[in-house]
Amino acid sequence: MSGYLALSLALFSIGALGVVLRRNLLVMLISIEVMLNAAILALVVFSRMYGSVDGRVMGILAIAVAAGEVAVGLALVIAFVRLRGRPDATAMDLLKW
Amino acid sequence: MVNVPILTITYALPLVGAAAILLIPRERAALARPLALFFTSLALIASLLACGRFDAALAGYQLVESTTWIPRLGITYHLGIDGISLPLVLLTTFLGPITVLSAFGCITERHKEFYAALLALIGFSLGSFLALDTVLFYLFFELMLVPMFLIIGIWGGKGRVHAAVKFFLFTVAGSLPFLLGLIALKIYSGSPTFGLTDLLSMPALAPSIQCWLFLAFAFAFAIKVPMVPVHTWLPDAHGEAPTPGSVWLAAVLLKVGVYGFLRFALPLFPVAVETFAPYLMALSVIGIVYGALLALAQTNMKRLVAYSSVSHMGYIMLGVFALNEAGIAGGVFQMVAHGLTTGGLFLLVGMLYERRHTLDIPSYGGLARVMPWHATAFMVVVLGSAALPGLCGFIGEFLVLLGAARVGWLWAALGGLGIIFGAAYLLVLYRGLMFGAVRHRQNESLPDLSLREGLVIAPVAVLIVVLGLLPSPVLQRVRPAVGEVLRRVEAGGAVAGRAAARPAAPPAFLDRATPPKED
Amino acid sequence: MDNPILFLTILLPPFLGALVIGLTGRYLPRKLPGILGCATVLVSLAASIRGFVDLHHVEGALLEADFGVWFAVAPLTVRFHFLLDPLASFMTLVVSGVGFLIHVYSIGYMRHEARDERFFSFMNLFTGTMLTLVLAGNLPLMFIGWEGVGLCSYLLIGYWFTDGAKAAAGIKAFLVNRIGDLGFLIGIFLLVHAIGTVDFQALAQPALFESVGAGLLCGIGLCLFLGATGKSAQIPLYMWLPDAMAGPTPVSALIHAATMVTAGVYMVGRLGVLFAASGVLPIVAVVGAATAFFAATMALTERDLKKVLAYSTVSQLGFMFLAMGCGAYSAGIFHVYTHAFFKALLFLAAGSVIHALHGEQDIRRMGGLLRKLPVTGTTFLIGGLALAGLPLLSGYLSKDEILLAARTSFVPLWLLAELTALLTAAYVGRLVWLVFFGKTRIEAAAWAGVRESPPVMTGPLVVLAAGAALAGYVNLPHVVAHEGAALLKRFLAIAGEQAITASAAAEVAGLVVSGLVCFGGLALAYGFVVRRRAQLHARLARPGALGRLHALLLAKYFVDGFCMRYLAGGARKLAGVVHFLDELFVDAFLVRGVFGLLVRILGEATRLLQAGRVQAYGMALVLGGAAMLLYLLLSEIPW
Repeated sequence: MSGYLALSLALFSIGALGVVLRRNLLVMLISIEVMLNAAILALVVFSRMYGSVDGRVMGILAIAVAAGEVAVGLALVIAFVRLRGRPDATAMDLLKW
Repeated sequence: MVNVPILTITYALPLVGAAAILLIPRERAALARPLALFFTSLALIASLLACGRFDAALAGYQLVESTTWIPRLGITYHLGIDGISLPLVLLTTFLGPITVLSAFGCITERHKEFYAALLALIGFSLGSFLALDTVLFYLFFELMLVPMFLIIGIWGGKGRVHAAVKFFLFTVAGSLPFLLGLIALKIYSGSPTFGLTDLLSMPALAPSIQCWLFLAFAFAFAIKVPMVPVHTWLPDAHGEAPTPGSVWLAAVLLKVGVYGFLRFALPLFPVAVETFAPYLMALSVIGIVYGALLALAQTNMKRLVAYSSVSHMGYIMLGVFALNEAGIAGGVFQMVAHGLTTGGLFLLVGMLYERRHTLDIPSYGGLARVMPWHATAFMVVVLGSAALPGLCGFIGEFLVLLGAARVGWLWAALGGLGIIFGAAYLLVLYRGLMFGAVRHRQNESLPDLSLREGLVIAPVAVLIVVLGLLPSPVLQRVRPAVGEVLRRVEAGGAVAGRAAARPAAPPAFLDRATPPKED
Repeated sequence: MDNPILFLTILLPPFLGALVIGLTGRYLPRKLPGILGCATVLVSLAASIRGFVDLHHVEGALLEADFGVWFAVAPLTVRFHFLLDPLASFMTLVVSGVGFLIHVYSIGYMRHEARDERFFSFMNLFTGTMLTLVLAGNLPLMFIGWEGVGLCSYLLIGYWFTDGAKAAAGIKAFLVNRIGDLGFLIGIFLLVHAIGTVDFQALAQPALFESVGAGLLCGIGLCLFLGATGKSAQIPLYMWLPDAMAGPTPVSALIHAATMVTAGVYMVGRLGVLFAASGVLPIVAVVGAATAFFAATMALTERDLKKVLAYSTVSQLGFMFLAMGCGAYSAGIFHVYTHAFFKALLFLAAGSVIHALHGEQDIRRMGGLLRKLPVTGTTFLIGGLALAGLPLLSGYLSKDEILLAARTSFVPLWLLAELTALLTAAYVGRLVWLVFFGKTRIEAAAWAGVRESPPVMTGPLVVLAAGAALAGYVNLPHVVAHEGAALLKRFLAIAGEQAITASAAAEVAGLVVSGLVCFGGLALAYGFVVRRRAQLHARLARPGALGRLHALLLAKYFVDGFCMRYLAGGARKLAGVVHFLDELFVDAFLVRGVFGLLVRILGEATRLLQAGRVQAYGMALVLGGAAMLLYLLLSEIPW
């Protein structure tokens, strides 16, 4: 079991690093998906570990939500690219005083 | 009739009035004035009814209203009055209609919003004098700022925005330590609620904790009073505020600071109070002389009166920290006297400003011939402020200095310098405005007091005389409450020895932070 | 014995008069305020006489009235408690009697003013507060009257307020008095602290002071005496009185000669036991004698008619304090009483002169007026001679009492006092001669228009002149009157009075010396001012010791100039400096500078963190989350 958990942790970390370090918005979006999948994996693992079906239900729900989330995310990325001309996260610098 | 929550009604009436004024349609904004007058008069009547039901002989809180409010946080809705708050409540409700009436002359735009703000200010001020729950007090203490900020910032003079922001920043800077101190107080004392009675019934805090919490409280209140050296917001705020704002600021808002000391800081931290009293007395004496000297150097009459407030508030604080009955009772009386005299001065100065639109003293002169009634009223108020025996200012300053002299005669002698300087700047002001020849042609034709202005100033002038000759009805009610405060301070001082020997109780929040042990 | 009605009829009429005249006077007929003002004082006078008579039938010679508590806090309860003992009764008679005459005179004096309701309102208020001062049964209540008369003095000195200098003189009087009043207040506080009571009746018990430390008692005495020096224009607080002459002349007569300025003497007499026990009486005597001497020298060279009288008042008040300081309280009060007559007379007659000359006050532009103003001149002469101490007039008798007391107590002060008496006679001679005798120095046109004042003004002069001549006979020396001697002293019976014992021969010697001194002074004046005037002026014009002395006296020893320049000016300068400090140091430097800068630096520093890069925020988020996880992990490990 702990192997699956370790996999989940590794996936999460890879995803997080990807979000933080990569500049391309599409790659960042994919990294977010990786993190999400790591979380879903962890849910399923714990569900199995404690013999409860709740986690698996939550996992399926999360997969469904993730589909929608990607759609919104992609739409935002496209909007941003239209605004700034490139899918570059360093161009996101308006959030300051 | 017994269960009528008269105190809630008293402070809620102006707030209801404020809401009602905001709700009237814009095209009928003229209704704002009568409505404001109506609701403040109702509040005055309500407070008089409360006064009628007040038993002068008792020391504790009376007409108490108490319910839980936010039980999870230990915040209660707890109102009550005693001999210290009663005179202040009456002063506030008495000045309510007068301030509203005085606004008729000087507010020329945004009537609706102004009277709503003024009534909200009145309501919140009353609330702060009535609250017996520390958080409730804090709430009113802070809420007062908002309408005052608006009144200075919208209806003020040329530098109004700067003055309003300065006023706000100073007061808020004090409030933050106060709020933190409040939370720490509940946690350290282990009290179930923020209610004052609960806090007071807890065992005494360790001296070091008392000192820190006292400093946090004192910082907030000292800014509000204001004591030197955190007084610099006052002349700016007074100089720019419209007349009703100045009146309210001087007569009521400053008193909340002293009231905070008397109601919370003294009974809750008796050991700290005895430690810091000499320093605060020294600051008060410095304030008395310093404020008076500053007043002597002013040519702007509102700033002059503002600095005179610094000086007079110094008297009040000197009396409070003399920590004896004469001093504190004198301080409470002086609060009322200062409210009347300084409020009256601002009203009269405001009337001049409405006629000539300048605050510069040399622009006037010789008005005693042109405006004899105004000059007469001004004389009464000036003399009341200069503590002429037989007028209300004398009783306050006499008792304060008597109290200070019981600590050490030098305190009285140094504080007494204020009565010399006080007479100096007030008489110089009076001479500058009223005496001499009329130097400016437009001053020749200034109209004397109108009926409305007479109605504004006459009650103040009469009360200045009446309280000077018959202060006993006030002092009788003040004394038991002051005795109660002193009993707490003295008992706390006596306990201090034992409390110092005992290790400080571990702060409760640390207990809760450790994870609950399972099994 | 309680008699509240009596006290109400003495005290209330002037107060009511002040209120009614002040509030409604503007709408009354022109002459009514003056008549009302006189009427109220007349009622007070009648009631005072009634009280005086009643006092003889009352056991213990004491009437009192208690109108309840004024204020009460822990160490002190102050009641509206009034008492009428012989001393108070005597003073009420002087105040309401002389006050009434001056009110009547004022009707004439103020008749050229457009309106006079403010004047009579203030005069009535003054009478009321002065009577309060006299009748008060405790110190704080006396303080109402004490500051109340000071207020009326301020209001009346600045009566012609359109003249800025007159208004300033009022402020000066009030502020100098306030310095004394602070001493008075601290004296009260110390008294409360040391003894716990401020009631005059209690303070008349010598036993009360036995357990109090000498230093504390001395402090109490000094503080209270400082109050007295302020009110009674003694060194060091005398500067205000000459300036106070800016007020209308009846004011100078009533307030600054007959009544208010004697309040300090009255207070010392009222607290006779306390002062005797406190050990400050020698200081009182020295201050009194010194003031008497210096003021008399200043009167010698003064050129303003009213100011000569003002310095003379200061000097005579010094005599009274000398008497008080010798413990001869009744002698001091006796002089208060005779002085009230002759000095009020002198002021009113001077007012009549000024009135006739349309405001001229410089005695160098007078002369020969006796022919034009026979009644005024004659009465002035009587008053002047009484002041100079011409034998058999009132001033002679009362001054002799004081000199006798001084001789038995402090011989050096006695010598100084005799010298002062000589100077007194000299300046009176100079004044009378320059104003009423010799060839007139008034322009012919003005001279023709000089008219004697109307009867409403000369009437009071005649009455006062009779008083100035005869008032002394209530208190004759033993050697003259034997059984009937010292009636006043026996009537007053002031507690704490020290017995003065002198042999018959000594008394006779004193009387003779006093007479000789008076004649000597008058002869001096005659010699210098009348016979050798030209030579004197020539000597003064030349540089030399005499010229320098003259200049020194004309400048009043530079004391007033020094005080105004360095004390009053210094206070103003200090205010300016503090103002500068407050704006520049506290507000600009500390508040806007140090704190403002601190806030700005913090703001700039945190602004750098908010670079606005989304990824940087994300990084912070992840690192923060990781740190929290790490903390939880580490805390789970059992180390």
